[in-house]
Amino acid sequence: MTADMTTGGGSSDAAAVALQDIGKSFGETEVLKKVSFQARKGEFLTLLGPSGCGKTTSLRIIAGFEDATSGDVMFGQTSVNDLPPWRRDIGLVFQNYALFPYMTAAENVAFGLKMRRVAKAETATRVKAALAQVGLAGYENRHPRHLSGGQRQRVALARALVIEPKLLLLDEPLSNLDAKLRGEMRYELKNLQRATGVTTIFVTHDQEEAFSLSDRIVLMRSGEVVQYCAPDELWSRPATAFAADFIGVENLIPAQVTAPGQLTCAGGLAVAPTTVGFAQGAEVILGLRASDVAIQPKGGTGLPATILDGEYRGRERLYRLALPGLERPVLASAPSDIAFDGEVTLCLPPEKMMVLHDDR
Amino acid sequence: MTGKRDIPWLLASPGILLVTLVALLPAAILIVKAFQDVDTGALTLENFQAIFDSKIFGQAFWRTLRIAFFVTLVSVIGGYPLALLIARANPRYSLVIFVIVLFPLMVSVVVRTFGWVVILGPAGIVNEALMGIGLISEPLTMTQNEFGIVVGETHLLMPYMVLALLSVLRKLEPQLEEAALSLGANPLVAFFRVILPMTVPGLLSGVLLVFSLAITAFATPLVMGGARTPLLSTLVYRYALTSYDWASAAAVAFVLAVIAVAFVAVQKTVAWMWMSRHEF
Amino acid sequence: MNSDRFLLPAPVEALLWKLGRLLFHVVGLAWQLFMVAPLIIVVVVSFTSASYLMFPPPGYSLDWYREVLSLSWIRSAVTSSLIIATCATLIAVVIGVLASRVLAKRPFRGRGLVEYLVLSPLFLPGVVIGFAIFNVLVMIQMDRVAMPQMIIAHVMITLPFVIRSVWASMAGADISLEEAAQSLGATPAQTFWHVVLKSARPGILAGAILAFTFSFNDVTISIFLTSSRVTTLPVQLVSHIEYNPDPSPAAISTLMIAITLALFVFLARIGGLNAFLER
Ligand SMILES: Nc1ncnc2c1ncn2[C@@H]1O[C@H](COP(=O)(O)OP(=O)(O)OP(=O)(O)O)[C@@H](O)[C@H]1O
Ligand SMILES: [Mg+2]
Repeated sequence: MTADMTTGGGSSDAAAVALQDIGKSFGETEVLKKVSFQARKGEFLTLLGPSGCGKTTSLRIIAGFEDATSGDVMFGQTSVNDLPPWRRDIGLVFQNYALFPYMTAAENVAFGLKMRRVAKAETATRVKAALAQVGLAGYENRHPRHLSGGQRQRVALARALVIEPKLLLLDEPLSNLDAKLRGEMRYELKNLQRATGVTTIFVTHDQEEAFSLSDRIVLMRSGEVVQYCAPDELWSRPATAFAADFIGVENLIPAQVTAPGQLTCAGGLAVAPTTVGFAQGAEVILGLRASDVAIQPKGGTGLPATILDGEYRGRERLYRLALPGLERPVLASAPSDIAFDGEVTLCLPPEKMMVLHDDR
Repeated sequence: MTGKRDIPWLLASPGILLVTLVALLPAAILIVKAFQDVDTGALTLENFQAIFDSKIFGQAFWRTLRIAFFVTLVSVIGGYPLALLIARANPRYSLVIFVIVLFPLMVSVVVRTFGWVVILGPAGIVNEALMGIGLISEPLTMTQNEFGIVVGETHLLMPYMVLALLSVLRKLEPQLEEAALSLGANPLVAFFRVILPMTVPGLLSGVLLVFSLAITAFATPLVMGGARTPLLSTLVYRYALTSYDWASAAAVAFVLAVIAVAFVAVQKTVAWMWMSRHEF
Repeated sequence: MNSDRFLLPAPVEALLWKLGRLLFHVVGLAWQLFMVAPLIIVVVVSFTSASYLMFPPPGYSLDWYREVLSLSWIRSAVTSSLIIATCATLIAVVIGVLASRVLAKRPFRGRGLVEYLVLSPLFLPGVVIGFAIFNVLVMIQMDRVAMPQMIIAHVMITLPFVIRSVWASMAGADISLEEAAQSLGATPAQTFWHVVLKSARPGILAGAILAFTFSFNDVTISIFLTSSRVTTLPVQLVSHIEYNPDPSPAAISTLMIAITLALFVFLARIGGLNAFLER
């Protein structure tokens, strides 16, 4: 029978959850196109992408609320396509928490255990422990309406974790909190996930959250996976211009490959990054972070440029510069204790340049 | 009172005056009449004595309650799925059901009841169908009796039940049900443990509303029940305009008004208590 | 973990739930049918060629419409019903808008009382009010009821519908609009006319349509006030049904359904269906 899953089977790096070529259409509109990714046991995986790219839909397919049009969802070695949500053993935290309003915090947390017919005494101790674990000891008898946003969030987490789920799914759980609380909860969430070791899939459109929490990131765009890798790799080697743009690479300059190791930017400027994998004549995007562009006083080695304006950003200053040979201004950042003005010299380091497919 | 404070009362005064003169004052006069001797005008309980002694009043009284009970019951049984469908179906289908439920509300009660007279009548579709499959050999009598009145009034009042339920169902987040499912509850358990408890206020107000409207319904029992099955409301009409026994008519009207007002009071109190205790 | 709490294998259980959902939809469809059946049947039967009420009709004709149009009372009943409903609606809208303004603006002492007073016709049984009005008319010897008495009674019936609809739309309006108008130099009267009434217009229209509908359809109170001088279409229909066990009432009913449908479509067009959802 495929119904019941085997736990702990396989080697330690076997996928706990895997999506295999998942496609999903609502009527005519294709929302997911052959999406594949997997989370190892105990891994913190993040689905990152702009609004409407299909993150929630993917999560709902994993949870069993939507049937995929094609493809398989695997828990370990078995397909769970036919398993209804209540048989999947998944902890789910919603953006709006979805606490049962007429139940106390303890009753909310106990709900999943009650469904599993856990004995009364055991339920009581587990509920107590779960609430204590999220820092809500003593709040057992409060109703959700008498809890703050952050506290509701914690109850929702406790309710999802107390059933010891195979998988924890979180859909933008932090987006309803104010900025300060969001930072705190992020930290606690990570600790909790480490302590329990539960495989977690987290949905967000905030790249900062994704970078700080994840073991791996699935970057999505209009129903497709653009890049699927560890955070540091996404940071240093975004796969396409879209990926670079999404994680905040400031300078994205259209260019053409003129010879191996030679690019000509729109406007005529020639640069020399590595162009492995691109044919001669290919239209590409040249990506460069503002922090990687060095500004020097006029006269050094480099390209002469003119500062258009500068924006104070606290520790550093972000400049817009006009560069002969480029149609659009270049962004560059420099420590804010030295203020540049007028004519300067720019250094564009070729080893920091990313040559990217233009998929925007 | 200062001049500024007087304005609310001034603007509302035409409405207040109209309702007072055309509804409340006449009703008060009728109440007094119920307690007056027809000839001398002296205060008395004789009118009530008379109707309580009459067999027809007792029958009408219990019949009214019985019919209201069944009408409320069937309205819940039919209204809940309809409201649930309107709240959950895709927008287009939801609108279709909403229109199907609401439109009859605006159609004349006489027309709607007449429709049921045709359906349930001796040569109506129900009898034809039952005889067609050989379940019965003689047409069943389904009009001119309590069954017909229950059907007609249920059709009359079902929309109110649906609206009362919708007022709570529309505020219910679908995520609550999904949360229950993810925690291991199957759809039936999720319904009874999560959705049903949250719709209790709407259910309660719908039940009270439909029950009180069923007790006072007039045109449906008049058209459907004919003369054979009087209810309290049609009894008032019969005493007043057929047998010209205005003392009895006033007494029955008083009883009917007391029941109706008591129901409104209960409904308001329950709603108020619920609001103050369960504000979520 | 606790997978033994499930009796059935997952695919079987999934199938059962699918069946259950299907059953639920079938039940929902059956109740929808229940809601539309009497209206559809009446319309179909009105085109019958038979001389008695049977369904399905043995053949179709317009005989019963011809029959209805030749009835002696039909023209006067339709005319007076239309006049009564129109006049009552116009008066109820004026009175109702004023009262709604009071109720919607700010809380004041006695607002609850005003609310209960103007909405009280909803809480009293129609027969009781009808009989009570008739009783008073007899007392003051005005019981040879003519149009004005009927209209006044209908204003009272329809007033609560107008007030609830207008009140809801006024309560939703932004009070800063009024303050903006006044800061621009509008007098209270100008503000009321240009700002308050404008923004409450959908509510007023919806209230008017509901008022017209319920006045046009009223039986309970009109039946007590009907006299040799004035009567209404639904009241005449009641007695017509009683004395004519033939399809002619179906023809009258179909005409009334058509009128209601026009009003309903208009109401839906102006977004007035939400008026039903307001408390
Ligand atoms: N039930 C549905 N019917 C039709 N289209 C849907 C449905 N649910 C989602 N969609 C569409 O699918 C696409 C992806 O939706 P989804 O909710 O998965 O996006 P998301 O990545 O979670 O976005 P967000 O960050 O805004 O939450 C959207 O274009 C949405 O309009
Ligand atoms: Mg989403």
